[in-house]
Amino acid sequence: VTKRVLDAGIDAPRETALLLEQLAYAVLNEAG
Amino acid sequence: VADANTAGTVDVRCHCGVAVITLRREHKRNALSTHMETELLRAVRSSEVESSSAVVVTGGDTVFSAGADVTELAEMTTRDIIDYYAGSGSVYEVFAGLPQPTVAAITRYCLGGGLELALAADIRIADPAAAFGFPEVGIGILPSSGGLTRIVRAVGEGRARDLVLRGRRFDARQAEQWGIVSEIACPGEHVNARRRSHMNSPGTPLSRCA
Repeated sequence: VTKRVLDAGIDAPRETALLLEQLAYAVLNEAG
Repeated sequence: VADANTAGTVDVRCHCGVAVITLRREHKRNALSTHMETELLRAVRSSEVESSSAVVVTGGDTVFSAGADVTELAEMTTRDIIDYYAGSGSVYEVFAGLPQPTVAAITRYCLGGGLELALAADIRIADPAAAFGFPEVGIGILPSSGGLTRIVRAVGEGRARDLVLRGRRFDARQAEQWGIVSEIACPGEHVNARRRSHMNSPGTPLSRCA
């Protein structure tokens, strides 16, 4: 998941990349 | 005795136009609990900061911050996490959005959320013993307070992948070589160094205390 977020965040606008980070965190936290 | 989740404060003092924000939870290596983030948010929005020409954030003389308080966050639901980013978790973006020049004065551990806070500053000055890293991947999460996007922009895609996906630590010298840290201060001088570093630039906000 972290790699996918890195991939997406490289070309995305910063605000979008930040939102992706936060959503990914919520998913990983819930899964953990 | 203070509860573990609520212990800690954040001081803010203004001197010669420079606001110095200090994390005060040294016994927990300045772990950024939601309480500490709320205190930090209060400090960032304080009149001292608003009236300042520059802002320094530091963890004091022993540690910058060893990161978020993961025991607290692990108990959160997805709904809680969304609320968290709208509340105390917004402090990293609020700090990054300050109109003044900002400096992170770093000593010893600057890990996880601590590194995310440092990356939200314009300038990072570290003492030689500073240790950096994103350990999140090792515990099944990821940097999520802007650190992922900021580290990519700070060191480039390849180096960022290495640091994040391997979660390895790096020292002050490496941080300087990679452009994360702009200056390594003498031991114990990490906060005062922000003044000297700008003494040769008359007229800059940080030169006014020189």
